[in-house]
Amino acid sequence: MKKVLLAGAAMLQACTAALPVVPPSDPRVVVTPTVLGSLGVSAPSVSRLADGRMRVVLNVQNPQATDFPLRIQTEWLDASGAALSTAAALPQFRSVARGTVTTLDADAPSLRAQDFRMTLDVEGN
Amino acid sequence: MPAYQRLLTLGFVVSLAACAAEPIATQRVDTRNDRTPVGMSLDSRDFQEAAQGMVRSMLQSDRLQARPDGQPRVMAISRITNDTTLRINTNELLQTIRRELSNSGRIVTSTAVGLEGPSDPMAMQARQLRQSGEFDQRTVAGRGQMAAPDLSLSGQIIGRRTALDGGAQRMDYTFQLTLTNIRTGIAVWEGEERISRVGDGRTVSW
Repeated sequence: MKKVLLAGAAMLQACTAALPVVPPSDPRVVVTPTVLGSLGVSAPSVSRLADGRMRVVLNVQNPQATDFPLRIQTEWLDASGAALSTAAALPQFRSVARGTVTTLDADAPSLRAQDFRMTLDVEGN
Repeated sequence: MPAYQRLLTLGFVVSLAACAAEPIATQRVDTRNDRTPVGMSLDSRDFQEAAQGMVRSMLQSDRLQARPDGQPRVMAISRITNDTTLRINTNELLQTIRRELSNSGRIVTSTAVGLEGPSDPMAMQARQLRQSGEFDQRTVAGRGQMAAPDLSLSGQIIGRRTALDGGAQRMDYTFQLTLTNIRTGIAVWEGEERISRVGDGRTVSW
């Protein structure tokens, strides 16, 4: 019995170790511990759209055997660091499918947005 | 009253009290961080989410750039049909779309032209002041100053209920919007957002 339990514990540990969790080094992306414990999150790629607005793209990987309910909130900040009042800053829900990589992207609502802060949390927390 | 009847009455009262639900305390909700439970019908979060998706799609469209002179394009609101069992004020959807488009600097909305009359009749009403000697005529809107819309926004909200196995139900709400170039009558942008729920089949939503 003990051997079976030990083997099970070892397998669980191996699974955890294999989890491709990459904490983003970018402070503009805030990932809660619950998400970080389940999903791998890439660093954000920031670019400009044709009309000059900012676009943020990042990938999340779900190595688990179950879908993950993700809550994404992107605040857009103006040149002074104040958050813009916009529908684009409201939380969004995405179900990150099991065993896949999902690309998240967010577009700035206007040219006034100079910076962003994206928060990834579990939905229904 | 005999003792056993008293006991029965007491037991009945106690069981009633146990059945009574805990009162739910009224709380404030920060709509920017709203984690309250959802129901089978639509709430303000759904309209915001649908509007957000639509605006994003519009602003991504190459066909909806500002005019060559840099001025934003002018949009009028046409018919938005509610094909659900819910009583919906379409302004919950439209106001967010109008505000976001206006803030983007690409598209503004005319309140002087509408399918059932202007949403703000004051622009026309104020022109009657041209007849009045009481007003400085330099401050009264002159002829030919209104901007005619070159885009028309129309669409519908569709609700579909599907019974699922095990007594559950699925509700799909589809938001469909179309922007038509008024000059040519051609749809220059079309968007669709879907909000779906799965829940108890006994829940009635209207």
